[in-house]
Amino acid sequence: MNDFYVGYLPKAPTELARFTRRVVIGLALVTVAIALLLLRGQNPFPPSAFEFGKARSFEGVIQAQPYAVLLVARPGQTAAEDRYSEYLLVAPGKHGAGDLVSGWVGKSVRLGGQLIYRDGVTMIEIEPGSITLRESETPPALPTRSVDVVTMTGEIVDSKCYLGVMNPGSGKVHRDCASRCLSGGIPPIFIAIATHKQFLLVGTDGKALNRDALREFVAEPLIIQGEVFERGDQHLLTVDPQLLKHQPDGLTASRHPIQPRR
Amino acid sequence: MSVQYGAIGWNRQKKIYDVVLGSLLVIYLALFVGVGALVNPNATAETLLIRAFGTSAFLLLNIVLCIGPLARLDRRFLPLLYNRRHLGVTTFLMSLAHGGFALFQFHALGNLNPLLSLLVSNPRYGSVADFPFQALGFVALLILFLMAATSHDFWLRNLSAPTWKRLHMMVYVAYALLVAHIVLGALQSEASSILASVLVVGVAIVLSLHLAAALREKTIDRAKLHATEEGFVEVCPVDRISEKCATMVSVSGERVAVFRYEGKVSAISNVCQHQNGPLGEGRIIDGCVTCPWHGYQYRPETGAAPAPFKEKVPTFLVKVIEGTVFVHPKPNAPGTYVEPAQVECREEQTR
Repeated sequence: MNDFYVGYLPKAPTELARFTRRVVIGLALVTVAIALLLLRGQNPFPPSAFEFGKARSFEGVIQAQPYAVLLVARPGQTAAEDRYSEYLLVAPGKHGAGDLVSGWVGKSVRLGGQLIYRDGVTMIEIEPGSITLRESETPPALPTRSVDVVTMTGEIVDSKCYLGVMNPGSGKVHRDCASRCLSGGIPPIFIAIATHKQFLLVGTDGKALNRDALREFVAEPLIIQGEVFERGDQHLLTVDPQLLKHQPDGLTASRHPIQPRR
Repeated sequence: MSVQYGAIGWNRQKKIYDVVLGSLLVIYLALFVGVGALVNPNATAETLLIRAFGTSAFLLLNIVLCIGPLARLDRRFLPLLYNRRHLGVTTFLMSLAHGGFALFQFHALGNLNPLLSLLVSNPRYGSVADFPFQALGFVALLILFLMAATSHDFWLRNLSAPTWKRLHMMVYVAYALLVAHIVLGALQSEASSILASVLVVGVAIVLSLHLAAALREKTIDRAKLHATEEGFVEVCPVDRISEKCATMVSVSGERVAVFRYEGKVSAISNVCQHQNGPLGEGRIIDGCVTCPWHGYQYRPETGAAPAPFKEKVPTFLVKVIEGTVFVHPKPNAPGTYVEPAQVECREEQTR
């Protein structure tokens, strides 16, 4: 009975203490091994950025159709289709910029915000209350070019998270967030799996979709047939939510975040 | 043992236990977040934190669930069992951190209350591939909270042990929910097979240990049932008998002295042939049961006095099954040899 364990006694039997010490050391090694193993097993994180805390100032013209953007003049550019860069605008949190920019549409403004960007597409999170009027400027009319009717496989995401506020900002784990963001007015984008190209999603009338129209279809692989057109340097894709269908179901169905290209 | 409830009845063993637990936890979290951030500079901090807390909680829960069967299979694991409640509460806290960060990251700063958002943002309850796995985690967290909140002896006393135990068996429901939470969530999101492998190994270990412990209990129960069917009567745990001493039991009207000596157990009549002295109150000296009244002696395995003496007492068949003594009530003729039962090296702890 010399190895009988009594927890409230100051000292455990020697042999038992030695065994327990070995078990604890084993557990420590297992702990380290599992941590490293799980880190190793993660999907790679795509390069994307949210310059949180780095406030910048921007000047340009606000447009609101189909989604709020800031048109920023490119110095020295003379070709009509290349004179402006377009930055999607969003509000802090899971909210679109619609409310913040109402009253400023078509006007030349200065505003403060933080940059969000990925794969060459850039977005500005507006600092509320930072919009001020600049000297008057005629709002430019951006040329629109219809490109093609296409069928693509990809994923619907909210633009803010995907571009960099969260990483990963797509896939099933992120689904609820995407749902909230779209519902809050963040512009929806479609990511083509094959090319990782980003398409701003609009209705068949070319206007912004109802905010909850796509809620049921975020974060799963989808096949979309629609018209692609370009407006300025934006790529837009029309979608009819009524025609969307869920892919075959099952436990083995993939719901990965969109992987970075190699 | 204590007469007043303190939040925690600290002692040296518990302090050591908690320091080790805290240290391993800090190592894990620091390693996961630190190395994770180094290797994945693009990852957002919240994502790494959510994953660190979530995986640490599940790892802890697996360890918690392994301790029970391990302690039954091998008594050397009892020190781990001693303060398991602190492990359980810690598991809940890690789960809460995971859930809290996830709730903030995915549901806050939106146009719905975060808790409401948790339940309605994903309406695909009818789908397997798109099932809202978050709800499973949420229910599991509620169970872990209930268990953590009632882990104190106060609740053990006031709920009564059977009710408390039933409540805490809900840990298996929580475990199943969490496995589903992981399978329908993280596993579908990650392309690597490493995560699936780690999960399968963890679950396999938990299940295997439980099955092993259950099989052992079943074997023990079957052996005891078999003994009972043969007419044996359960007496007491062998630990209850001091070395070279006896316990006395009345079996079918016969008073029997059950002696324990040198790793063996024998049972003889309790009545000394000389003036009916109580042999069970005597001791084994020089290998012989010695009557406390006048020192008459009998060998425990035969009930016969050593030569040249002639006295004999009846003997009884005896078994020890997993630390429990069984005696057959039918006496053998005085002086009949009965093979002593062996006390197993591993003695069952009763609590």
